[in-house]
Amino acid sequence: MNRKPAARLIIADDHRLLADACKNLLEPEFEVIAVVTDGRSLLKTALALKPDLIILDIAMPRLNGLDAGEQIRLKLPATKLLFLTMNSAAEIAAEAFRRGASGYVLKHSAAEDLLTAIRKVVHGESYLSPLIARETVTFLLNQGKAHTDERRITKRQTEILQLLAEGMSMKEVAGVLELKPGTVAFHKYRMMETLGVRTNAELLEYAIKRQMISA
Amino acid sequence: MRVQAGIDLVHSIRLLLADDNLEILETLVDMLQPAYVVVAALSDGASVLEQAPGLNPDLIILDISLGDMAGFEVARQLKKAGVPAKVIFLTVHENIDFVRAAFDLGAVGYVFKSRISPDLIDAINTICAGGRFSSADVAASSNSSA
Repeated sequence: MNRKPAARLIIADDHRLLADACKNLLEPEFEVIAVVTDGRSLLKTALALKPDLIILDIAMPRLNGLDAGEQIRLKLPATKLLFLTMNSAAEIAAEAFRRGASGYVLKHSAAEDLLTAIRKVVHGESYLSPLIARETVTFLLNQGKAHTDERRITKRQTEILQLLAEGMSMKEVAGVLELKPGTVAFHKYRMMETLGVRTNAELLEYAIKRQMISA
Repeated sequence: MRVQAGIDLVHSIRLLLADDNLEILETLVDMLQPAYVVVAALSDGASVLEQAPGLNPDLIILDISLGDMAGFEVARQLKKAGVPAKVIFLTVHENIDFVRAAFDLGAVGYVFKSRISPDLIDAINTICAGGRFSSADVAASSNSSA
């Protein structure tokens, strides 16, 4: 019988050096079909290439990893998501699994941990870094509620908020998302209403608090 | 069953959504995701047939007019393939003949797109408790009581 072909992976991390190092580490065993450095290119590349697995960071420009991962999972449910991040908060790990992650590994883990995680995930198992308390994550996950109040704004609004917070104008945001500028304005004001904020500064503060962009 | 080594939502209802209107699909995900596990949000019938068997959804919420294939045909083929998920049709068609045809086909729910916000969550919960749901009945009874 033939050996199973190597799993096809995409790596998404805005630190190019780390992404390339990761590629070199994995390539003897897996086929790395693309390396991308922001969430929006991840979305496009993943839908085009339909990988078996995506290794993705959470803090990424243009679209964060949690939102990008969720959108991909809904459209490509067979593609597995493995988060590789500096964020060791159990709440964030729970949120990642809630959105359909199969694995969660910390960047300061040993390289061998990442390999173990990938092998497990490829075989349909899940993996959580031993550096994070599994009981806490399971508990949070089964509380049924998302850890932040982010569910109050819609996915579309979240996407727009990240781009605005990164300094784009409404017109530029409209270009990236292929929407009319009026639609972007509509979502922005609806979201400000929902969140009860009145100024752009308050909106930005909310984005920082949500860890959509770094302070 | 999906083996998740203890990292999973244990008590959640799993939904698969299919609609070729991406805006409606997005709205449905936003509306349903906080309370249920949306295992996939797909925009064509072929993907539903391909993905549904592996995803173990409890419920499939299907548009009747999918781009590549009629929702009725998708439901027929799912049944033939032995997918045990229950089916709710979500559609603009409010004609009673469509409603009857859907239930004849084995669907357990029929929700009008004009009544998503009052009916859909009710429909999901009623059906998961073993019942059936039709927007046609709800609309008729609220008309007669008015």
